[in-house]
Amino acid sequence: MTNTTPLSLHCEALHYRVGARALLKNVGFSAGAGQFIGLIGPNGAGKSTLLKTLAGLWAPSAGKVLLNQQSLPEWPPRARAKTLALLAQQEAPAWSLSVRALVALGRLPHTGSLAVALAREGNLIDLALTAADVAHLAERTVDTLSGGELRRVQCARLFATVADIWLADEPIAALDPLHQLHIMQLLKTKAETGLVIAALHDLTLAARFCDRILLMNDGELIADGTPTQVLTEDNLARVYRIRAQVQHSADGVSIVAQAPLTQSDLPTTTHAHNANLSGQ
Amino acid sequence: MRSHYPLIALCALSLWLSSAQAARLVSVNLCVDQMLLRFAARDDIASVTYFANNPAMSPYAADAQGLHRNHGLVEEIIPLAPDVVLAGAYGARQATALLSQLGYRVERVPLPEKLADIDAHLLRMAELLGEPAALQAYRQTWLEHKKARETANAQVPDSARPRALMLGPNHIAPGAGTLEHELLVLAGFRNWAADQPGFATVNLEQLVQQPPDVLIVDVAADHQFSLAHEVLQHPALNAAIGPQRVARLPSNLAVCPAPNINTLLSALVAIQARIADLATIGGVSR
Amino acid sequence: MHDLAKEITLKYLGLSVVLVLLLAISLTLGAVDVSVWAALSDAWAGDVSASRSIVFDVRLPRALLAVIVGAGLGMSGAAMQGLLRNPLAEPGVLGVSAGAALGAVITLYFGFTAWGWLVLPAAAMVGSFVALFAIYALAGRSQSVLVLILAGVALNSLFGALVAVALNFADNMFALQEIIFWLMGSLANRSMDHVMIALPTCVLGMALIYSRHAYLDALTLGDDTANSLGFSAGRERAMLLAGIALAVGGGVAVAGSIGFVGLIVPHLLRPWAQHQPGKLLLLSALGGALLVLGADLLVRHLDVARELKLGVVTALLGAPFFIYLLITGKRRLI
Repeated sequence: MTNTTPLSLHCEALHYRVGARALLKNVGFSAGAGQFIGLIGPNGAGKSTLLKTLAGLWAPSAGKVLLNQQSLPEWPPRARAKTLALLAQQEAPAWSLSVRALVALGRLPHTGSLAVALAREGNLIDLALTAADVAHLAERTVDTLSGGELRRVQCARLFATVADIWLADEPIAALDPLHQLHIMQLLKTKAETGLVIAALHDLTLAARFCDRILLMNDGELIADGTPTQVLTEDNLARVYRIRAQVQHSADGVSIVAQAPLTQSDLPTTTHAHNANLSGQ
Repeated sequence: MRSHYPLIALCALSLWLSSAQAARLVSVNLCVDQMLLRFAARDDIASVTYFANNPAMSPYAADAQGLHRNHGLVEEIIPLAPDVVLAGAYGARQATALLSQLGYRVERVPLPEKLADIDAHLLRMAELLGEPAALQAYRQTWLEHKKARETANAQVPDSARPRALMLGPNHIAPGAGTLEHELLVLAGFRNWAADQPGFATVNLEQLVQQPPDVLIVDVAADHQFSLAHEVLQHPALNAAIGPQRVARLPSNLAVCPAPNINTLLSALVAIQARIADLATIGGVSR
Repeated sequence: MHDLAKEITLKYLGLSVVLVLLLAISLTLGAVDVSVWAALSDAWAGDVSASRSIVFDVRLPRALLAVIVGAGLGMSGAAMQGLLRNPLAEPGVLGVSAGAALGAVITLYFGFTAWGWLVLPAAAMVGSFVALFAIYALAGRSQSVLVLILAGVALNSLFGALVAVALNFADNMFALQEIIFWLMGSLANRSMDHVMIALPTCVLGMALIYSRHAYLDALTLGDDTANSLGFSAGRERAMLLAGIALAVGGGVAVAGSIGFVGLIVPHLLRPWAQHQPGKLLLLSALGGALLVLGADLLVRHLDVARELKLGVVTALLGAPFFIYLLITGKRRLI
């Protein structure tokens, strides 16, 4: 919006260590406008760490992140926030704000004040509320919402930022199927002009909506490609340790987890099926 | 009146000692300390309290240097092998009870609460200390001084006497019934705080509205910060009572009246004379 | 939207009117009967009189200090709660006021005030900053109520004990009473000199706190989200902590530590602020001024002769409140 250079998010050789533990190991990829990227991997794979590093909240131990070709730490925080927004995995509100006020928090990078956002940007907030299908909750306080309703309100908060890049950490985990589809569709629409990277656990939805999948395991980027390229039975077996049936249809890919695998069942070769780990 | 009984008992208690050996006196009360330091032979004093060398609390602090100081603990006192342990009427209860139980001679000396008690107190101390001549002379001076003041006061109508307020730390002032009140009256004042019984807090607003002719404060206020004296810096008080109407009394005099009663009375009489002059010259009539 | 704005303005207006009323009452009522009009006309005419002195030199500084100190404590309480995301945070309860008292005691009783008037509030500010920093380091990351309260208990006792130690070393004959002042607080017999110390310090502190109102709003959703909304946490927190330290330190330096104001006021006014931490700041300042002024009026009239300490009254109101919050709190204890 404020920048004339084309939208891009690029990282290379990212490492993030806490003590002796490496949470990110040599992660690198580039993304631009028009992409809806699904970030998948088992619990503890490093998805949240990667998103927080990309959002500039955590400085990497090594490597760099470039936002619109400018190094992330060089961005003034407020300008960065206007370009890149994050929906954190945990955003439990400490106070019983109204839903409208919570969504208005997304306007802080632009207005610098909640009162100003509420007073002057009512239309934009209404749009975000409607988009996340929570307009009917607008005057409720957030402590009266169910988990799913709260997550949608938080999505509306993300939408209200109207940043070019959205990083969403498990945006649909607590939602019912209808709203899962609804939010995924919204993210996809956003990705037509912007860039969306979402950490997801629902592989079928990831396969259906995302046009690119990043598969992570133990801090490493294992595979990067289209859903068909990444979501193979071998990859799922090695990374998730499940026997899964991957069905390809006209709609896309659907994945059905069938049984957990024991150590002896796991494929022996490590990178034989990772022809797609190629950056772009 | 004069009785040598305690002295005889004392000698009996220390039969094994040579008769030239001094009595071993231990005081566990600051005011008794002062009496000892002033009137007892130094060799007779085995121990005084640890307040005794604090110049803010005792005018005889310098005399206490070099003497054993106790904190009123039995385990400190026993090694001193005291002949007599002297205590006030109320303080050091546990210690004195235990010492009595252990067979030590404990003497409780009630401290004066009224001017009328002072004479009895001086007599009692004289008895315990073996009738030192200095103490007898001191008592004589006091009786004469008192009588002279009473005669002088009878000449002056009550309304002609200046009103004085003795303002202690934390703006507490002595009211009716206190020894300090009687002392003010004896010195020729009316007590500003006579309406209130005992010691009570003085309200700044009342003080500003009806200021006394003289405000008597203790000099400890000068060198050490304390909230207790902070009110003396208050602009409203300074506006109501000019600096020439503030008199300073060494704080260590008032802590124990009996050993300092003549000095106290003289100091107050001097202040009274100065304020009475001020009234006649300055024409400030209240 | 406009109704909301009107509603807020009405609330500010209402609180301000009550505040002015209380101010008028505290100038009118006192230990002695004095006509405020007589005092005013004496002041106008330039006459020196007892009524003028009582109203302008005794009652006015006391009332002004109640307003300044109360506003600082109220806003600091709201800011600490927002910063720690915990409604039980409060400068008095968590030892921040005791830290300020320690700073003040050291300068006053060891003669450092001779270096200039600034030394006293500066030392009080340093004291409260140290305590704040310790609280933040101990409990800032944890959402646990228990950790916060235990840290507060420990710091409060520590700084209270250090005040006692400092007063003992100061060889002050009245140490016992003075410890009570520093830990319970009082506005008795304060003068304009004290106002001149507290006013700039507290106002600067409150301005610093208020300038960070948007960050406190953003913190509603946690550190990560607040940072992602364009706030640099280090700078924002440093300014907030400095602001709280100034507002608390300036007040404690002249009035001792008055507890629970920063707890009661933000809690009562939070619904009025629609639970928005930023909006709560100014309301809490007004409310704190009201509470301390009211409590001081109570103190002055309960017993003229033996004045109760102000902190005793606020603790009598605040401690049951604290327990109530602890019991009804929806958050986990551990």
